[in-house]
Amino acid sequence: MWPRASPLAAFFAGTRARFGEVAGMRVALATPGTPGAVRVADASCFVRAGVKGAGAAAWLGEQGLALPPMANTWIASGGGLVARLGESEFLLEDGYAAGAAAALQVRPPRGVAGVYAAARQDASLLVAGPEASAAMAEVCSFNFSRPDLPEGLLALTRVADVSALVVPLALAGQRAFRLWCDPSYGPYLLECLLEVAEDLGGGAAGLADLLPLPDPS
Amino acid sequence: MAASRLPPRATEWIDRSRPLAFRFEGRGCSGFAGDTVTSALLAGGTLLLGRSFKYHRPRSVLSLANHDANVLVDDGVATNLRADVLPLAEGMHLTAVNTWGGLAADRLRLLDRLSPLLPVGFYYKAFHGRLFPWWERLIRRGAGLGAVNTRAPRVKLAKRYGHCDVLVVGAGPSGLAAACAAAEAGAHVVLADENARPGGSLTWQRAAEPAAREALAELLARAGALRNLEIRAGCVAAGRYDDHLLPLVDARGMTRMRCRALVVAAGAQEQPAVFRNNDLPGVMLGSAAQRLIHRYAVKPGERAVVLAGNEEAYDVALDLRDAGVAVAAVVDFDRAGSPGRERARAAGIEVIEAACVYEAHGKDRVESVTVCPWDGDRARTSQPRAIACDLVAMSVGWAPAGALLYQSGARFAYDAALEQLVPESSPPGTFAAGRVNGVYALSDRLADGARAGQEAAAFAGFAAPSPLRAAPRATRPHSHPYPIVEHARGKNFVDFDEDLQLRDFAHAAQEGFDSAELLKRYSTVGMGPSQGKHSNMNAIRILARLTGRPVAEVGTTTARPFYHPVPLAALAGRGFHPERRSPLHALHDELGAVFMPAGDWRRPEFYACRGWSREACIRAEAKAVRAGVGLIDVSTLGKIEVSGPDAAAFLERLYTGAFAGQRPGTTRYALMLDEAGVVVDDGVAARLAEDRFYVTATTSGAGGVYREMQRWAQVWGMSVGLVNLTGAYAAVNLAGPRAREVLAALTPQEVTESAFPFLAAREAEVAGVPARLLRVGFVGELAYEIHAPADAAAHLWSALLKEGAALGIRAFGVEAQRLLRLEKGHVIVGQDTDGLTHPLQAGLGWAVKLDKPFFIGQRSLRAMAAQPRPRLVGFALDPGYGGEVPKENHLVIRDGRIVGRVTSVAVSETLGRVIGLAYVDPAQAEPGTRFCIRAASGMVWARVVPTPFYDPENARQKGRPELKEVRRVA
Repeated sequence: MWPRASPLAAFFAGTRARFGEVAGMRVALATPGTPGAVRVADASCFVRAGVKGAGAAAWLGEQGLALPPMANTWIASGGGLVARLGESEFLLEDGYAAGAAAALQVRPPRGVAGVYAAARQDASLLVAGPEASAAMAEVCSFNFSRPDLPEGLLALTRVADVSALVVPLALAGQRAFRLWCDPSYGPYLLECLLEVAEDLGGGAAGLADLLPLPDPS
Repeated sequence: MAASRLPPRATEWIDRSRPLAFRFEGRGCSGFAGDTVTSALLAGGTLLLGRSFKYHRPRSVLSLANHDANVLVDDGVATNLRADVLPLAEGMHLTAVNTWGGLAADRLRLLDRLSPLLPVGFYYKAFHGRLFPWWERLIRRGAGLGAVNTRAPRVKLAKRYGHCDVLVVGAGPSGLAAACAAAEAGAHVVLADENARPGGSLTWQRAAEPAAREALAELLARAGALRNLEIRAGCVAAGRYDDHLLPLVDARGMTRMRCRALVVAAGAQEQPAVFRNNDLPGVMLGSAAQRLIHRYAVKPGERAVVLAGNEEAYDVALDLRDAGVAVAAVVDFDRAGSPGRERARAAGIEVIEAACVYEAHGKDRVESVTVCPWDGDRARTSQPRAIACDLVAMSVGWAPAGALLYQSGARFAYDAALEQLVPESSPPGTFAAGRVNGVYALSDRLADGARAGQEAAAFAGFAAPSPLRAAPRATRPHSHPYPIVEHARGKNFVDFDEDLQLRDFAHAAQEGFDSAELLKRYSTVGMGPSQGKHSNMNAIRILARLTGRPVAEVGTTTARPFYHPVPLAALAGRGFHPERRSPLHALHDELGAVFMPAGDWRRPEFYACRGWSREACIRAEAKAVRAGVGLIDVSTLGKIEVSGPDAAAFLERLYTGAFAGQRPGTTRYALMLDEAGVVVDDGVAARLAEDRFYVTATTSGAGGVYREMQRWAQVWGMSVGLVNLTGAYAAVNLAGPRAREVLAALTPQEVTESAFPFLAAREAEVAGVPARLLRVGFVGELAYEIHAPADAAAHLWSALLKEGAALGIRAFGVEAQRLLRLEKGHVIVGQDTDGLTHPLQAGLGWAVKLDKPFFIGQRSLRAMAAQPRPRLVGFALDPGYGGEVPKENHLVIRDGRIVGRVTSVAVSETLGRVIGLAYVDPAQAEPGTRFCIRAASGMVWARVVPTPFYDPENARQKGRPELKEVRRVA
């Protein structure tokens, strides 16, 4: 296996972060300093796989995966998630441990009628902190503050004028957001979010600062 | 003595425990936290605060409500700041705008004497012909607002998105009542008000009276208890756009607020009376005087005359008297009695009935007025009466602050009983309340607000159990129908922004500009910074009088967003400009890349070498590719996987070439046209399996190609799966006669010519990375495009450079690639083609299978094939040419006519010539023909030569370096 590089590696390389390896990718795990109002971490390291096509749902079901029941929703799966991007398109992402996405990378759906592997190399960010919603309101028009936000919502929207997937979630009792975008836009999106975060009293964070590593025991 | 600070009062907004020092026009001043710049200056006795736009007349407070632009200041960074509402801050250094030599000694005040020579519309008659530049310089020097400081630091203000169920604009009594009612129904409510504090007229109109104070306290307490009600003070709703989107602008930036329902409770804006010298400092609106008294504890003068046209004038008189101002008289246009008049008289204030202020006197401030009898139409000057005063408070009428309603699509009608425009109908989800709705009594405004709030909440899905009824509109006029006093010597201003006088309107109407819209454009009324807030209503009344029509028939002008001035910094926000970076960006940086934009991408233009010129760097990179091996990042190429049983048939329809018979493991050139037969993109289609293609597209066309593929797959109903891998896959091109040696060391794939020939495609590991390899030759040498997952790109790039180091491998950039492909005669879509180019013109006929049953653009292409159109040809300048090298887009001229243009041109060191591509007249397209290019310094002759310029037998890109036959251009 080659050493995987995060699309956001260049930024974090210039920080005083403590690095570690997750799924073969060097990633900033912890940053010094006190937690700020908005913290932005690189979560690109998690292994991802995509499957699309008219037969995608059935095929994934045959692989033993539980799927979100409708488009634009997600469910937790193992330590990761399965997101339904449309009626016939899915994103699988593992957590710290290898799971369904890693398995799919090894054995993609080849030659199965109506099922196509869609390689995913997203830049992914985790935005957390007490002002995370305020930060998102500066870069995204989607109303994540509405009280009737559906459980398991996945928004296919634009963040800082870039197409992105956004999942609102709860971390440590506070609203947080996972974002995925085309890796080529990753550095730009990170810079935008960090500028907003810094103005709101925050900054870059290590991934494990926000999403603790699993207990090795 | 003029204005001064009053003793502390319960209604004041200032914090006397926090004194602030600042400078105005170089002079030290002081005020308190909570003051505006204007209130602090007035409290300190400074009355002259600005100069007018055109005539440089002395100006001071008019509305103190951001409804005029009399007092604009510059703080050294920003200009045209509205001092009336600019919060005072410690250490400010302020100057008045638009002066020459300072505010007091402004040399341009002489223009006031020249005003008879500068009537309305004079510039239309003078600003043309040879004198235009002279006029322009003169006017730019003499008129205008503040000068933009182009050296000011960039101010980054946030631009947020906001959402609410009900947005209420205006936090006066009706707005507060609306917001409370909507929130109590369960809606999430945002209440925005441009003032520093909520309360509206309750904070200035008889604000010290118990009724006002109690009403305000009760409303604020009620609002404060509602957690779903957010009050944003100091926040302007600057416009209204479709789907209830309103930009809310405050000191921190802009919120693009999307609401489900909108309540406009923005109130009414007081209108000035028109009489000679009504712009002198000391002449102000009654509401301005009240704001000074109640909000800022500023006594606006010592001896006042109140000009009355409505009942509110008597509130002004009483407020002035209560503040210790001697009210010399209330001059009332009307004869009929009123409760207010009786109250004033009971307070010992003289009321002069059926009279008007005919003229104000004074140089830089009002010192007295001439009062004349008013016959209902004009002043009777035979019986003048002079009254000494240092303050004239005008209280003659109101105009609804209805801009947001207009922008929502509401229709207004003139209510003759009220003498005011009122909303006749509003679109669904938009509700008016309070004075803007023609409702004036406090109790009625509270009821009207509650009704509007309930209706808005219900519209947003929060129905109230017992809906409220509409409050009645006022039945007595609150505006005088024509508070306009003619004067033979003019200077009776209608629009203070533009120094427009009453006679300017008469001139405009005489010249035929007699509709509201025409009058506006000819006279510029309402086109200044105030956007007609204090002038449009009077303009309509004047136009009605001049044309003999009722006000209702004259109509109003369009109120477009933004209705309030919005700082450019707020509009710009943070400035999101998406930029794509290759996964190799940081490595390019380390190699000294100089980046250039390519669509959204940043690509290395070349790699800088210390002490070398740009051209030398590019030449060295090109030479490395021709002589050894080079490596370029082509990750920006579009990369789309087309799979499924119909994949080949799909590409047959989409592209001009033939793909049905293409063998797996091979590549073919793919040329895409639009339905008009115009070249829109090109790339390579690699067939990886019977049912799977990997197609590349141009850097800038990738997104569009993918969208077109998705669209046509739907339209044609074909069984294909499309995956856009543009960002997910990186790509590099390893090119040069020694490329094979480098690749061979890193892959188990056999790379001999027989095992991996020109135009073949393979899937294999390179440096341990699963990759797709394409034997294509854009730069005209043995070359391998290696496509691999983006997260492996850095590893792959580094491995290739390391392996090639012994062979002198060199990274090359976009400019070297452009030169190399030009030598090879390869066309770049978008550079060598344009929005009208069909493939036969561009020499791409070889890539078009016109005999196929169908492809997009085929029918159009057949129709155009026979038409004589400019042809793209290769050209070279004469050997040894030493003159100016033409540039891209220089024109090709034949018989004095433009027949084409240069699309690519370069000095080729390999070929020892200047070569290029150009569109020429079809008659000039034969090799050997000479044609003329108009370069910057003159005509340059070029000769048509066949392409490729370099390696015409394609021996080198076919990996046969033993055939070193490189044709030199004849």
